[in-house]
Amino acid sequence: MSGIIIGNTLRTAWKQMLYWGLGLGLLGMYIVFIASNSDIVQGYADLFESLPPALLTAFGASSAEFFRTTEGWVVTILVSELALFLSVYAVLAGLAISANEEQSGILDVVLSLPISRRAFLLEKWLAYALLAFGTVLISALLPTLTAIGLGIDADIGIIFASILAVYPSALIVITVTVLLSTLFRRRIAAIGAVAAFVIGSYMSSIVGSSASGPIADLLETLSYFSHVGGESIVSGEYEPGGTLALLVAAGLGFALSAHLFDRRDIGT
Amino acid sequence: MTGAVFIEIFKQTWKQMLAWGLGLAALAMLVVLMVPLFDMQDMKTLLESFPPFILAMIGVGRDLEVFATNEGFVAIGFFGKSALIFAVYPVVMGMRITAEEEDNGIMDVLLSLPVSRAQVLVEKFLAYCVSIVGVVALIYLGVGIGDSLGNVGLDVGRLTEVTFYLIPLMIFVMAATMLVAALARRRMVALGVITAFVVASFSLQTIGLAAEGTVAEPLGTVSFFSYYNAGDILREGFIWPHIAGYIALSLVMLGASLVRYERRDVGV
Amino acid sequence: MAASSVIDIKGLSKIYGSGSKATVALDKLTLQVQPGEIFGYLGPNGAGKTTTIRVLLDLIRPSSGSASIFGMDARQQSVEIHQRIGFLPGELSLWQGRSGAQVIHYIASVRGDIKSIVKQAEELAARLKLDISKKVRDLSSGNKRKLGLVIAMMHSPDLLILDEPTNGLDPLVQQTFHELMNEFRDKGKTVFLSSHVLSEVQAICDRVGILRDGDLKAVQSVDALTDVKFRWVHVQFRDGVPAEVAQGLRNLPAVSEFNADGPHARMRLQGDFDPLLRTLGAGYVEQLHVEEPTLEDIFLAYYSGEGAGA
Repeated sequence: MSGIIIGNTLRTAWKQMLYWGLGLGLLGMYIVFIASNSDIVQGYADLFESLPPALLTAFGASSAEFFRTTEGWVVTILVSELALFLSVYAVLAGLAISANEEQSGILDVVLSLPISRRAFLLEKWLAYALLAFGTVLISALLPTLTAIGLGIDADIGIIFASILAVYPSALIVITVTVLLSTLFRRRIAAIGAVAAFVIGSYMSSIVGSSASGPIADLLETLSYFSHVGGESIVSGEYEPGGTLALLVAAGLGFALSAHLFDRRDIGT
Repeated sequence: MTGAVFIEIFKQTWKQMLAWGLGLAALAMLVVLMVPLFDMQDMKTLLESFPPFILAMIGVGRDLEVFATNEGFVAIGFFGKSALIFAVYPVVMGMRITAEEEDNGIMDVLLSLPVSRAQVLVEKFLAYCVSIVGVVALIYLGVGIGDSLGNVGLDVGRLTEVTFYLIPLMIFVMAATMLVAALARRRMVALGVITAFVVASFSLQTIGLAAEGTVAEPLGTVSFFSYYNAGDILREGFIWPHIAGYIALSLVMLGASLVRYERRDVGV
Repeated sequence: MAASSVIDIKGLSKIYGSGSKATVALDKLTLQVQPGEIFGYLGPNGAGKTTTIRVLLDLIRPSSGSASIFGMDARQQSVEIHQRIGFLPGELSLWQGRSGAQVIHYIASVRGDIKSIVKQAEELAARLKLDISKKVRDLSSGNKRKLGLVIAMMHSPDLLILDEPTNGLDPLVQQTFHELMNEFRDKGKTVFLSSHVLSEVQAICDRVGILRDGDLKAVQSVDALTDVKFRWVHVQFRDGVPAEVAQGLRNLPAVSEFNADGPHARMRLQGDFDPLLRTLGAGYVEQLHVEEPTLEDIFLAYYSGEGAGA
């Protein structure tokens, strides 16, 4: 692994990272700005105090504690949206790893260079993993700095950490996109499959968290949106094991992609 | 207008229409099959204790009779919460009107034929409108099949308006995409701008609902998603001023796209 | 003359970008193409050939000047013009998921007379040995090019506009292409083709325009273009090139680019042969070979600013 492909990918894609980070960061800034009106948070806190847990899950919060604090309100509103929008970025990033270049024929040229397919895929994956982290970091910094600037009464560290906790889900989506691009070869088929994966996960998360019973629980467990982790950071129940599991899953998914990519034809 | 472009586009698109329609229909079925997991009477009792702004936040509105029914759950839980998902298909199709074929050079071939630019755009727009109707019809079918399979006892007729109200919403998004592509020329720029527009609109709406009484509330009304309120539609049926607004704005954007595309260089 | 021209370009300029980033792609180009001729549009990459073609097709709009085809304004009456032309782009893109036959049917349906156009397309495809039942994505680059030619010619247009038409075609198909072009011309139709393959232009074109950096350097018949006043002379001496002969040749004003290698000498002669023959008389000449300049030589002469007849 020479790192040349990582460097080249970072050079060509950093603007995309910046735009997405700024866009999502602006969303976070807006939510923090709204949260600076303490009446809103207090109103929710009083209300949710009286709600049964089953209903709270429908709002995306598993305990009334979330809405009691400003950071809880911000995280609940922001993280679910960030996870969804970041999935779009992750799909685009995943497609840029191999599918786009395979379709345009650029991959023929790149793989004619003295670099193995596995090394190529690994370098691109690492580059986009870094870029995705950069996107999440910018998305986290902007609302955090806004919160500091506005002097809002909130645990700003929790807001920052909760947004960063979205990162493993982005890495999962990138990896699934690479895997599906490897399996389907044709870009359009890969896009369809990964769209089904993201939308299916999103709906499973909504339906699973809104209902109760074994089917609903299974749906919720299967959805990567359910493992984003921001709310557990707010409630103090965060366990790094979940994040680690997502990262390991991403690593294994990538290893499988690299194995399959090495065995199949390119561009046919 | 010969209709040749219209027919060809439809031939090229029907498989994608079917794939998207079946995918979204499957999600609709999933939600319908989850309905028996809820006790609607308990839900109604619970919701009666909620103040109006909380109800607004979850899209229930002030009429609890609507939400606390099987149809209300499907309308708000699926159509309301997943409005963003329904914006993806029209963005994909809107990009195909000019951006995709301009980017890959096919537009050069097409516009060397005896057909005006306006004719190409209008015929493609209409063909994709028909495909949107097809996708929505399949979603409606998914609701009906889910009801039959799960013996849910849903009054599917009540969901007709909620489902078909998606058509003007999706056509609006497609027209906006077409306009952005006509203005931006480059595919990636157009895709970035329209993604930002849709994401910002969705966020403005959801945050506006969650922060009643703040500046976010009037800002939320700027979002085009605000005029697709599943609860309101279930209660009031087609809200014709909103539909007229979607259609009028779509036509204005179609007209602006024609003017802009007629005047500019293609494929530069 | 201009009134009867098939293509009439007057003072056409195209500038991309603005301010410090402005790039002049075409600079006050004026050019006429006459009915029934095959006009070769020559130039290196980036000379402005494709830009000219895209203006003619109304895909891009001129910064100044005008272009008309069949006496109709290329911009205002583009649809009427397109009814009578066939076009093959330099980089052909088609719908990957459609078969050649489906693409042909689509384009024929836009043109109108589906039945006769499809029939003609099938004949052309057979002649070019193209299987139109295959999907576009499964065609080789050469076969895609053949499909492009079929699409451009299947409706018997009055004018063919071809951008680098033989790129990717094998020599046999190139021969078929030349035959098609000649047959096309014999029917009184016109071809405007851009190329940097000089031998191809030499083989089939009646007139040639040479473009460089957006500027039209010359428009001449192929015959006139090759009627230049320099020749390549190869001489083979029995006992090597005598020193005094070499010196004498180097001193001749009409001789340039003199090279000696063993018994062989090669030089460029501009003007009469007499001074050369008198100088060669000092040695024993076994063989003398005079070579006409190729179009490549002429091409290079134009690009180096010497122009024809240099």
